Amino acid sequence: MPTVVTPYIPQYITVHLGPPQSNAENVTVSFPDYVKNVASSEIYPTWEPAALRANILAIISFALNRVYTEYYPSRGYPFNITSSTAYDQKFINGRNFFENVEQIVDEIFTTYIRRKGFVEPLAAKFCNGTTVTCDGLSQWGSQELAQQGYNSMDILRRYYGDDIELVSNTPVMGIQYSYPGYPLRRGSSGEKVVQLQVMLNQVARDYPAIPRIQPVDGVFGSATEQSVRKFQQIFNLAPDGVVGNGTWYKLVYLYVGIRDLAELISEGQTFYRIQVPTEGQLAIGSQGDSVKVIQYMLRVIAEFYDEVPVVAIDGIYGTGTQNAVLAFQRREGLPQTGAIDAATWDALSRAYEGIRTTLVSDSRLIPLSTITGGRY
Amino acid sequence: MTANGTIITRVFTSQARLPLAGAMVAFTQDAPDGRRTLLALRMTDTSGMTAPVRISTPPVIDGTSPGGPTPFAVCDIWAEAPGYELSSIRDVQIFPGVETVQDIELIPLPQTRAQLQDTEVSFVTPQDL
Repeated sequence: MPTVVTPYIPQYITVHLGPPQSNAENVTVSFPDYVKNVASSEIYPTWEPAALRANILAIISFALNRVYTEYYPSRGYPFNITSSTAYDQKFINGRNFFENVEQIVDEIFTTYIRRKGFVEPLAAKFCNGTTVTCDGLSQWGSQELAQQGYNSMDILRRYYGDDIELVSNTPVMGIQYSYPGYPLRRGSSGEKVVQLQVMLNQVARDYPAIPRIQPVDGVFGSATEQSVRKFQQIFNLAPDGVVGNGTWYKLVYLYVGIRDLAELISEGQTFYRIQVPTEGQLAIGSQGDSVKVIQYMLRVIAEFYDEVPVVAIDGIYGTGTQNAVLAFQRREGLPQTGAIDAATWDALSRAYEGIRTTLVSDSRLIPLSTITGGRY
Repeated sequence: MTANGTIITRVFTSQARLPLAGAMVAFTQDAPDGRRTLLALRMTDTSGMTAPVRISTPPVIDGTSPGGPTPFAVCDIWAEAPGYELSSIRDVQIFPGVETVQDIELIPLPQTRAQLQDTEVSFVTPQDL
């Protein structure tokens, strides 16, 4: 019997900035940021809340369908989705978001549409409904229905049929602290509150405006509430002091991001004494410690350059390493050979040293090197 | 009849979103006569954020049904912090009654390179509505 694979929310998603076969760059962004970007690029934030919600649910479901079906990877592409509206949904790298769109996305990015009796997220097509029509949601039509008083679910049923349903609280891949399923608030206590306090204290090292909670006791009291409110203010969440889905995952994303970067930096100690040969070149098929050093440098660079994909540090120069080298060469305006030649090595080491210099000379980043260990 | 929107920015570095305090953020707009106007200059706080800048926009009615005039104003933003590449975003959209949020991720400068040689530029194109 085939096993049923349950859909999940990817922590990050890689977007190809053009049609699938074009030689465009790929950028990797967090899944909620991807949804905020698409929603801000597709529709107007001044629309009715019900229309915004319906459109955002369609955007989430379409993207999750691409991820779930491995639509592009199964065709040999190193990305999950494209920014081309002829194939997927509109994404503009680096664009602005809107406060109200951001709040809705933070609240519902773990919710998607599916057809009853089916597992996969709905490939929810949409188009503007005026200059382009399609067998799916009409963007202008959704706004008109919302103006008439339809709620987001009515709007979705109108376009996708009555046999659809919403799935909420989908687990986020790569993030072990899943939302408890109910809001944490003053008076809550237990293991999840301990996690919350530890995460807030860690994030407060880099965001000093957030008051630290002492002691970490698993009791959601006034100190925790104050810290939560400040966190919500900074990250544009309703500052109600209650930790719902949006606040929880915003915090988890930051915590995991900071922790991963700190671990990566401390791992760097291992590579100090390894010499990389400056003669000859490393290319696909190469193996050994020199490859590990290159992979480590690429990995650090990937934390700061969204267009460089994350590589495994395994000492084997495979297609993953080659793709990262290609992306880096493209960014630096070097010939895209996928191999480490003298010019690529030079650019790579300057980029890496630039990051290192900034990290140690910039006192705000120092807490990274002193990150606490422990259970969380 | 005119309306207003506001814009804030959040300046940070890396996927871990480490905030950059003391970064300089400029908001400019092209006037109808082609001249560039400086709307505001802001410095980021310890959370990497700038205080809201208010910007005039078209009325909200322009964006509520198809075929109307462009329902948003645009401005350009650039941000810089010592040790980082300059970043600029063109045609950032501001809608009436809505706060625009612009995330700006700065990249550490490669070693031995002058700051202004490297600029990350993003262009925002209108919605296809």
